[in-house]
Amino acid sequence: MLTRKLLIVDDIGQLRKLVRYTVGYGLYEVHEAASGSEGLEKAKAIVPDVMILDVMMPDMSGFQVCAAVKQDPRLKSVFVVMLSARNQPADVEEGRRAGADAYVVKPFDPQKLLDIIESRPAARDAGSH
Amino acid sequence: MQPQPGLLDDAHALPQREPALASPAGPQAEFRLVRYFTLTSLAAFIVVAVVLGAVYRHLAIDGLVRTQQEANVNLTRIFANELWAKDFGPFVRAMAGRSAAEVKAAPQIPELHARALALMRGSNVFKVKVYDLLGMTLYSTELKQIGEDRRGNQGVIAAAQGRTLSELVHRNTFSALEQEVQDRDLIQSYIPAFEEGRVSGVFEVYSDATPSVREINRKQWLVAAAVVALLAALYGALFFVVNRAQGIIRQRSRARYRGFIAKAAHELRTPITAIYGFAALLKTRGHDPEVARDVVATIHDQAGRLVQISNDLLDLSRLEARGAQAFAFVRQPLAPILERVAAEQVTPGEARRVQVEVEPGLPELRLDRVKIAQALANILGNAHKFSAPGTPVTLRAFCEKDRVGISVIDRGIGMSADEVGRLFEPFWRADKASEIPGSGLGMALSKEIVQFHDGSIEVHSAPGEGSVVTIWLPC
Repeated sequence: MLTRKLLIVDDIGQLRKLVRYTVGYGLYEVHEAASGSEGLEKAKAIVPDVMILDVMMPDMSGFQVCAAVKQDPRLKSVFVVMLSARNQPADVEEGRRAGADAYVVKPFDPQKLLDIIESRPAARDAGSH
Repeated sequence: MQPQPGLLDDAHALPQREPALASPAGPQAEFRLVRYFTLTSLAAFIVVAVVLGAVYRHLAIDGLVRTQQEANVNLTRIFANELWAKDFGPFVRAMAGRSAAEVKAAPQIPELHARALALMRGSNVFKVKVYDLLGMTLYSTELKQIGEDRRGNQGVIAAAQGRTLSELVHRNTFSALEQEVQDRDLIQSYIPAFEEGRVSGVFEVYSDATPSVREINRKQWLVAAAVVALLAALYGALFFVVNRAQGIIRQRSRARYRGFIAKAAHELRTPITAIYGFAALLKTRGHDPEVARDVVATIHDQAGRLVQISNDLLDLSRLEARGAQAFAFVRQPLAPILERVAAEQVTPGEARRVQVEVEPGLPELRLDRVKIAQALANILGNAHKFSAPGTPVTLRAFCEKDRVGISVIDRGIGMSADEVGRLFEPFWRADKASEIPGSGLGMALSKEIVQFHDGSIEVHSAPGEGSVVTIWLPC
């Protein structure tokens, strides 16, 4: 039963596919967006449980999308994972300020990404019921 | 929030590095503009100061000789007025044809000598001599010189012909009127004495110019020092400007280098992330065969992209490092190259078409066949990537005055002015191109190649109206 929705926002199709294959085995209903603005629109339309957000996108940065999501009252409980090639403390700090829940550096182990998503508070709560 | 430690500490995670901040060409090739500037300036200062000092001295001595000659001429005029008519004139005439010994013993000499000394006293004249027209010394304030034969003397000959001749001479010791003097600069003048419009004798006058010459020598050094000081001030100003300029250039090239490395690292990160991630998926999970095939195909694709990026990076760095030496220029016809490039673009299973139109009678061009083909292939590749499948791309070569144009014309999605402006930036991609394979270096490489052919690339495009990219090469 696919009640949990996951939205992948990344301008690179191969990386969307990687996330889709990582999480998309009956665990989540997977949605994709190829740009920041499209991601924000889709997030408002489907209200996902989890958003995987690439940082460097041409139109809007992942940080901007994340900040917009966290300011939307309907979306503020979405679990946002930033996906970035940049691992400097300043980048991580920017993710924190934007309200992201996790920050994952590329290249990443798919299983670890799945673990992070699965260990989010909402998922644990759901599991305990 | 912390970065996920499990990922960063993961033994499999690839090392993450910041780009090095070193200068791109290493310390040996440090920009040496300022050093060259300083050395050439110093050499120029010395040469200019020495030359100007010498020129000053030459002009000053010339002036001194002229002035002093005038003074000497005036003196001889006084001599002539005072002494010639009554004393020297008759004496010269009386001594005509006499021997040196007879002249020396002439009874008129003591009186002449007394009168001459009386006239010269208080002036800067050290010596006066009188010759007849044959060069015999009839009188000298240095009495022992009387009777000397100076007929071969250039000054005497010139003055006997009516010309006045002067020069600056230096004497370590010199018999002046009343004593020996040392280390003197003298103006020596040979002056004709006229009687009724004809030369009747020759005066030789030595006047002392030592103080003036010392003054000139001192001023020569002052001039040289002033020139050096002036140039040094100019140099200081220029040094400041050049130093600033060098700083700015160095900073810019460092910033560009850093930017390039950061972009390259980012560009490599995408295929690496895909390969790493998909390989991990394959390793840790069971997949149905279709998914597994897709994952393997993706890994293969992304590995290919890594190869392409590294090939293009190598090509670019080879061009930067070897410059024109990387090219094998040969004068050759263009048409066969265009035909081959067009043929290579069409791969089986792809709906790519290239229409080649070559104007007849094109001149042969100085080309590196392989490099020009590479540049054209990059542009043609782009034209196909941004056109609907099956839309033909035209490759047209034509002559215009003293250059040949090779245009790649597509009817694809086109570019905005901003996109055209960034087209040749390394690793720049149009927003809509993030899904389209390519290293992001193709157009930068093409531009480098064309520039090494002394050519240029011109781009005309508008969104929705396709693009025309023209390579211009000199005939």
